[in-house]
Amino acid sequence: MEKKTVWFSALRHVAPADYELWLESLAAEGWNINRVGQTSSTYMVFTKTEAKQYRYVFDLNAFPTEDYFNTYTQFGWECIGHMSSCYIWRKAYSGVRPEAFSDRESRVRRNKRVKTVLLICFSFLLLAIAAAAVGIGVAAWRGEIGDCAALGVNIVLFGLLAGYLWWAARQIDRHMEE
Amino acid sequence: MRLEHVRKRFIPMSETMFYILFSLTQARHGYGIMQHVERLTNGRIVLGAGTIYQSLSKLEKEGLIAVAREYDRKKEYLITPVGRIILQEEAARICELYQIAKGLV
Repeated sequence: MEKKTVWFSALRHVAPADYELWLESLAAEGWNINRVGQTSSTYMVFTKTEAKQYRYVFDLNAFPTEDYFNTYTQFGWECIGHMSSCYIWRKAYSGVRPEAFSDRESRVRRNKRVKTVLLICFSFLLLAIAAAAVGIGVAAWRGEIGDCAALGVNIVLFGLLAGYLWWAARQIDRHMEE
Repeated sequence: MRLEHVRKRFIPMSETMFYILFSLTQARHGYGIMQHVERLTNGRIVLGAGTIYQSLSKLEKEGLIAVAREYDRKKEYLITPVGRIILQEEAARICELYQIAKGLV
């Protein structure tokens, strides 16, 4: 059976609506995945099948209750797994594309939850950069050049990551109502 | 005061929230709410699972609805006295808007 591996999909399609459309476009081409897990944010292995018309839904829920799963299931959605607190739901359909978030307010609330998580991570990175900068100051005062260089590398890496998170948050802003 | 806090959070209400709260003047579960609202609006509004779950969580958290019973892995909710007050106030607000708006058409 033909397979295709996709790397870092969640990092490239950060807005939930983008991620959903990406999965749906792959399904329409005949590339399907039946299980999403913790490693899926790093890589996903798709299997070649016949083309399918699926509606995918990305929902962030840090504390899902039994009621959460029962509600989606009653509406005919299938949970194919989760990456951390990000649950991926799926429903085959013909005709009108089904919606799990049927009004603007609930879509915005879903997207804001995702953006909030990104901004919390961004804030921690800023704190880490500040701590590393203080560390450089202390190391420089003590004449420990090696430590300065190491901390400098940390600042660059944290900075790149923080920059990515800022970009991701802006992407979600652009698609906030979708 | 509790009622004032709830009033600020829910009034004015979105169309979705109004229909969900109105549906719960009778005990219903999530799917039943979707069916009732679809019938009421002649198919114009079809509520999604995520929208219903979010709205029910918010309404229950603020005390406008409460679980009436659970069976077959389904939870039925019913509006509370506080919920009825808020629903009536929102309905009065909509009527006021209607009186003004009908003069425009």
